[in-house]
Formats: sequence, structure tokens, C-alpha cells
Amino acid sequence: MNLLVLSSHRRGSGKTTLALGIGLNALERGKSVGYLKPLGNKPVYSEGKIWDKDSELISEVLNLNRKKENLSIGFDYEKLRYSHGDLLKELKSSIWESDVFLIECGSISSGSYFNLDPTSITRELGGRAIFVLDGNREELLDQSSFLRKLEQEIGLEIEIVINKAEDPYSIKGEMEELGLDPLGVIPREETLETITPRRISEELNARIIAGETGLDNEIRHIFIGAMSATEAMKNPLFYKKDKLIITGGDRVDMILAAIESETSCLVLTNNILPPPNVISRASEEGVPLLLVPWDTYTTATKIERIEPTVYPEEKEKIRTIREIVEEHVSLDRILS
Amino acid sequence: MSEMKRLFEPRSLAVIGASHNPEKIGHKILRNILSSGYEGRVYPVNPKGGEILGLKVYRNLEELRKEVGERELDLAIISVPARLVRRVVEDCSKVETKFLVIISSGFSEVGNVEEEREIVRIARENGMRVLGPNVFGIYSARAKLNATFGPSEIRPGKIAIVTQSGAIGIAMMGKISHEGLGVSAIVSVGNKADIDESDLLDYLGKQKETEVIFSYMEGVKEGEKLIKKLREVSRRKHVVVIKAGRSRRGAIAAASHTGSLAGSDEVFDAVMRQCGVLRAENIEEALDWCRFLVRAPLPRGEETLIVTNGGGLGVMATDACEKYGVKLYDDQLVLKNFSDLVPEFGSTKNPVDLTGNATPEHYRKALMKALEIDEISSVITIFSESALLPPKDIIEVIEEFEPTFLEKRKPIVFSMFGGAFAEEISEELSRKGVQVFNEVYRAVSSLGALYYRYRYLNRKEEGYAQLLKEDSIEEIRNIVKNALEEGRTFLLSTEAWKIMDILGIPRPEYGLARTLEEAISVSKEIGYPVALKVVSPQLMHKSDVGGVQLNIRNEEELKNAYQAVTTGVRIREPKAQVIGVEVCEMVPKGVETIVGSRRDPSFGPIVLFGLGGIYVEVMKDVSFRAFPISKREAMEMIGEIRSFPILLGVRGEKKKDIESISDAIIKIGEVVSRVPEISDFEINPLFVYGRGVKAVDVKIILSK
Repeated sequence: MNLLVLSSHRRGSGKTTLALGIGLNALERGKSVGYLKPLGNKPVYSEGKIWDKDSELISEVLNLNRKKENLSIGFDYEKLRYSHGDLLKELKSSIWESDVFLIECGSISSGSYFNLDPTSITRELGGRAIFVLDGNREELLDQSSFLRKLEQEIGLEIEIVINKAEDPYSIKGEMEELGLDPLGVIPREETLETITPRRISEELNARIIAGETGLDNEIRHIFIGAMSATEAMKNPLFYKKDKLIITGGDRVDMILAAIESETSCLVLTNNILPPPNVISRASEEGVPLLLVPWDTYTTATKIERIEPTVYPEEKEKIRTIREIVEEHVSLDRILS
Repeated sequence: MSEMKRLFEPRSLAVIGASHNPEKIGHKILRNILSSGYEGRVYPVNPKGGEILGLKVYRNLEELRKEVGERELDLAIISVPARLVRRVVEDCSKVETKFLVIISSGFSEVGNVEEEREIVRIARENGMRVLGPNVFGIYSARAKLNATFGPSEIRPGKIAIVTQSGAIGIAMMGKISHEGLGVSAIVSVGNKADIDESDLLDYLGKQKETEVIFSYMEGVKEGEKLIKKLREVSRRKHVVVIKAGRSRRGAIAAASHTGSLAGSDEVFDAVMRQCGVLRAENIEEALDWCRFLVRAPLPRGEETLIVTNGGGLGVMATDACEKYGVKLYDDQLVLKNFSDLVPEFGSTKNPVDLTGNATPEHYRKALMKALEIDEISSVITIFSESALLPPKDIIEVIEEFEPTFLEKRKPIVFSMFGGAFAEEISEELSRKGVQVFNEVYRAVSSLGALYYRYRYLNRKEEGYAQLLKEDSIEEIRNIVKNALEEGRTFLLSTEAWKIMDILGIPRPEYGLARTLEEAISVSKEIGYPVALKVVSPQLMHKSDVGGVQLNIRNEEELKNAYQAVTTGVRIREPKAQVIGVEVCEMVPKGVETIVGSRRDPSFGPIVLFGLGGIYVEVMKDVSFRAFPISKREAMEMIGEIRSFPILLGVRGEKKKDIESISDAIIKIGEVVSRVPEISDFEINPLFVYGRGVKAVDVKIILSK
């Protein structure tokens, strides 16, 4: 069994994307695939059950035939401490026989308290540690040099995949100079970085008051409608496609102007419901209106914090992930 | 005696800024004063001196004091440019003036707030009260004084008018004098820098000439004072109000539902109803009501008869009765008495349809019968233009019957529908004070206004309910104090539950768990199913951040829900400090209601009741009252919502415990009025059962 332990320096680097890409390519090559995310951090709770959002995506797309709630050991340390003994042992026993088995971890230290950090897992279960790196040139150099030192320190081979690279060619060169040979350098793929109104409504617990048909619109830009519609319309950003506008429900002029200018979604702050005619206009045009209780600043901060994610239904995005991983990652080295 | 007596009945007055130029306001006011027959002393003041309209003009107040020895002046009417007003006010203080009527504009209405405040300060320090600034003056029939720059011909009568808008006031004076309505007083309050509606109501409410008070308002400054005064005055006089700015809604962004539902207009409307005040939509309606209320006596009962010669108009009148709350007389046996008087094919059901063949004689007989039958307490008489009804005869019928009906305390309204013919009748009778409405809805609306007053005045006065002892309030104050010391702006749910216990409002069983282990043991104690709610001093809207999970059925689910709540909140609100989770009993479902109270910016504490839970925002089926209220008012609030039948029990369900709801309303109203640090207090939902209630979620917000 080929056990791959994925981790990164920070959230949102692309571990799940890489796991999905590797898994899809493995399936294509006729190999069986397994996946676990021992420590969940994106809880979904329903009907008494809890699972991780990433696990749900992977399990559905890769047809794991395992219950999604069984793909994580736990979420809250309190609970883990309360109900479990040796978690590493438990993890070991949860793994099932497959050609390729992916274990998604957090950062280098996360889970260390329970010996569920990536290096402990790799050592104990005999896998290969893969770090997904992203960031600017300096960060990438720092991270890879650090990992190299760590490798020597702990005597464990660590491989890297650079994700969202702005300039893959020069990064490869820099890595070579350091004597490193990354498993892959994946260029930035903008289509994977969009978020959708559906995701915002989920993350913010926003109420959808109109435009359900547009919940999967793509959002690439964010515009705060704090000025009058007349002023806003002087701003070229206002005419960009695929934008999200944050404004108050009583800003009827702004909302109507936004609906007419190819807006992907409107987030209405302070729980102010717009008048019925505005709601019906938004429904007609399929522009989601999401109502939230917070002020504009808090709302914008919360939206900023949302990481782009992929939904099982987003076939196009999933195909892109398979393709970029196939093209930019040495699958032969991984899957051999 | 009212403090305002000398404003309305001055023995002496000075017109400061009296002008030689007949086009100037300072001249018109003086001319109106002289022509109105005022018998007190009048002193024009103008630095130029000389003589105006035959009166000696004093150069300043000092000269007036020296020459006349006038130490005390009841009224100073000030009509000088704004920048000079302050000097004049200082001068007035030296001659011991009682009231200042500041006609001049250019103060807070244009943003000059400071100057206005300073003027009021100087006045009050020297024992003077200020009307205005930015007013058109005052008319008082009792003093035969027209100290305004409006029309000079005003008939004394029984309607007092208090208006905030000068322009509307003057136009109304014109309209009233054109229509020959009698007025007891007209005052404009302008910027209300000092004297406001409440002060004027105090005088007008006690003045015997005044029977109806009509007030045009734009904004309310001291709402609590106004409520108190209106409640008192409206037991003696009819009060009709127009409040402009209906459409302007306060921002609905509020932390509580009570806040977002209690828009300023909704609250105003509720308060007016509570005070027995009639709120008119527009000036025409207000004047219709005033005129009718002055003339008609209060009826003895609620049974109204419609007499008509047109079936269609009868049906419309019936609809109008429904709309304006006028009850129709329905005793078919007694109505048979009309069968001999009704022409062939007519109807003796109410409306009594005299058909197109009706002659004046038919009307006479029908009205006579209505007078005779004691149970009939008021009559709506409708004439539709017909060749058989010559205008002269209709006028005769009206003039013959109207006084008799009024004498017997049976209010009667007339409506005449037709062309020039109808206009003619209406004009001729209006000159004699009898109103004949060209539109049947207007006639019924006036009768409806009278019945609204009838019902209000027939209510037994009841004391305000008080259910809480000082000890309980003190305990609540301590909880609030503690939260404020910790810098919080709302109470944690554990504190809110404590308050429920103090108030004696049942709540779910709960326990605060700081660890999963504790959560498990609390759940065992309470018994499944349970609900989990995160407890954090930073999180008021717990469910918005995924901090609430309901209906947890066993330990396995509890572990999962616990993780979902704690991890979810950590991700969504990384800065929030999580104290623990509250494990709460899942209470049996009852009718979901909302009970709330908040401090309204203009009217002080108000209470709200409605259908709660998720319906509250969508249905907005709620009722309001200004607090304090009586027990009966609390019951009325509950009965007022559209969904009230649900509480009465539908489809075989038992009647719900309305008594307990009314107690809850009163209690939380009391808390908000007696603990000023609480700005909003809301139980949503309050489950109501056949017996008892249970507060499922409580939100208490503190004022910063």
C-alpha cells in the first residue's frame, strides 16, 4: 500500500485539492484509493452525525464507499481526550486496504498532542510525507529550506508540492539551486479560487431571500457598496463581472444598480430586508440576495476568511483539478 | 389652574417688532390683535417709535417700563430677525414677562440649535416660558385674541387646534374660517424648544369651551410626558391627531425583533390608540371628525340603523361600517316595524331600503320610527339623487330631524350622493353647522370615530398592573450591574435564566457545562433530548455562528453536537472566548409567541406581543403598548393579533394559557421600565401551553 501523508504550513494551501487530484488520477490508472482526515476542522452536523466537509467531498468524488462520518476521528480536543486512548493506534486500525491511501493532516505541529501530526503518522505508519507549499517566493524558499533541515534532523524524507505558483518556471529553478526536486509545481488556477454564493450562505449562516438559481455563480471580486449608486457607477470595479457586493438592505438604488450590472451575489448587512419589489427583481434576474445580521466591516472580514472550496457537483472544477495534477505533478513518482 | 393660563388669557401683551409697514408680519399681528376685540392692554414695541394703528409705539421695553410702569407683562410676541431675538429675550426678563411667543424663524429648524437652546435657557432662568420659535402666533377665543398673522375672521367655537407646522396651521385657519367652523384656540408649537403639545393639552383639557382638540404633529420630543397628558385629557375631550411622517421608518437594523418591529410609526399608532386618541389619515378626515364630534353627543349603545333610498349605497354603507367599526342593528323582529313604512319592493332588513320610489314622507316616517325604537342608538341616513326627492324637501327633513336625534342622544349622519343638487344641499346645511357628506364612507368614518371614543370612554379605568416586588428588581439590577462591570452589552443566557426564575416565568431545565464530560453528565440529569448552546460573552446571536444544536437524542449525538458547536464557533468567531456550552432541556412544543419590551427613543418603555419563532419576521403579527399598562390592556394586546384564534385553540385543541402570557408581558415591561440599564428584553419564543408557558430563548440587551 502506498500511504501518502499530506500536510501544509497553513490552511488553504491546497491539501484537499492535491488529495483529490492524486486520487482521481490513481482511479484512472486502475488503482484503488483510500482517504482519512484524522482531525476534522470543517464540521458539518446533521441528524446527530458529524463529518468534515473535505472528507465529504473526497468520499463522494472518489466513491470511497465509506460513511463520511467515519473518515475523521474527531474535531474537538475535549472530545478526543474524553473518549479515546491511543489515537495513532486507532488511526492505524481505520485504514483499509487500497493501492493508494491518502491521509490529510494539518500543519507540521497540528495534532502533535495526540501524536497525530504528519511526521508522527508517517513514521508510525510507514508512509511518505508530502508538504503542500504556497505563498510568495521568500516564503517558499523559507519553507522548503526549513523542511530540508527538518528532514536531516528527524531522518525522515519529506517531499514537497508547490501550489498556486505565480511563476512555476523560475520557482523550479530556485528549487534546483537549493538541491531540491519538488514532486510538482502547480501554477495558480484562477477558476479554483472563486467562491460561490452558496458557500457564503453556508459559512455565514446567511438567509437566502432571493435568487436561489444563482447560488453557484462565481465570485471573483468583492465590492463594498457604501456610496450612492451614482457614485458607485463611476467606479470601473462596479462593472466587473462575477462580483459580490456588500451593502445594506435599505440601499435600494445600490441593489437595483447591482442587479442590472452582472453581479454574482449581494450580501445585505444589518438584517435589513429590502422592499418586495427589489426582492422580486433579484429573483427574476437570479441574483442571490443573502441577508446577514452583521455590519459591513464584520461581514467583509468574515467573507475574506472564507477559503475557496469545491463541491462534489462542480464537475468542471473537479476535472480541472485532475488535469492540473496530472500535468504538473510527477504522478509516476507518487503512485509507484 | 393650568400653568399655561396666561398664555391663552393674557391681561397685557407687547408686540416686539411691531411694524409700520402693513406688509410686514409685525404689522399684521398687531392689526389682528386690535380687530379681534382683545380687551387687555397692548403695547407695540419698535425702536423707531411713533404710532401704529393708533397706538403709541415704545422704542424698547425699558421705555415701556418707565412710562407705563408696567412691571409685569403676560405675553411678549416677538417678531424680530433671529439674530436679535436673544437680546429681546434678555430685555423681556427685566419686565417680568410670563410668556414669550417667538414668531421669528432661523433656529433649530435650520440647524441653529445652540442659539435656540441659549434663548430657552435665559427664558427659563428668568421664569419665562417660550412658545416657538418659528410659530405663527396664538388665537384664543376666550381672550378674544387673535395674535397671529393668519386670517382675521375666526369664529369662536369648540375646536382647539395645536399644530407643529406653521404653514398647515395658517392654511387650516383659512379653511376653517371659510367653512364657518368655530374654534376655541389655535396655537402653533413650531420648534417646541420649550412649550410642547403636553403643556398646551394641559390647559385645553381643562378649558370648558374646548370640546375637541385637533393636533397636527411631525415629531414627538417627550413621548412619555405626552402619553401621560393624553391619557388624562382624552377622558374629558376628544383628541384627533394627524402625525405626518408615517412612511418614514426608523432603521430596522436592531439587535432584537422588538426593536425591528417597533418602527416609530407603529409605536406612535399603538400609543394613540392606548390613549383613546383618534388618528386621522389626512386633514379632511380630521376636520370631518372634529366637526361631527363637536356636534354629536355620545350614543347610548352600539346599534346603528342605515336608512337609504338606494340599495347600492346601502351595501357600501354596510361595508364602510365594517371598516370603521360601526355595528349594525340586527333584531329582525323589531325591524319588521319598518315594513309598513317601506314602499313596495323595499327592504326592512338593515339597511332599511326605501327604494328609488322613496319620497320625503317615507324618510320622515322611517326616521320617526328610528327615534321611537330605543334599541336603535344611531342612524346613517343616505339620500341618492332622485326626482322624487326635491332638494328643498331633503333640507327640510334633515333640519327637522337632526336636532331631535341629537337631543335624544342618537347620533345621526347624512350622506347625499348626486350632482350639483347634492352640492347645493351640502353647502346650505354646512353654513348651519350640519354636515351632509357627499361620500358615504366619510359619513360612516365620522360615526366610527364617535364610536371609537364611545368605547374608550366606556371602559372602566383600571390601575396599572404591578407584579414585581422591589426585591426582585434589586436582584435583577445586581445581575445587570455585574455584566456591565465586565464590559458586556448583553446578558449571558445563564443570567437570563436566573432572571426568569426571579420573575417566576418557567424556563427549560439547563446546566452550564465547561467540558464534554460535564455536558454528558448534565444531559443525563436533564434527560434526552437536549439542546446545546455555546456560551460566550462575545456572542449574542449564537445560532448565526453555528453555536446552537437542537434535538440531541443520545450521548453519541451529544459528542458530535458538542464538537460541531465548539469547533464551528472556533472557526467562525476565532476571537470569541467560549466559556462552555449550555445544555438545555428540549421543551415540548407549544404555540410559539414572542413577548418583548424595549425603551423606545421617544415613548420610553413599550411592550410587544406576537406570534413568535420564525413567524415573527415574516408575518409581523404583533401588537404594542406603551408601558405601564393595566392587566386588561395586556389581555387586549394578546387579543389584537390576527393569529389570536390559534391561542383560543383551533381544531379541537385546548385554549392556551393567555393569563400567563399577560403576566409575562407585564413582568418584562416592568423590568425594562424599572431597570434603565436594560434597553431590550425579549422572550422568543415563549411556548404557550394549555396550562402555563415556557421561555425557550431569552435575549436581554443592555444600554451602553
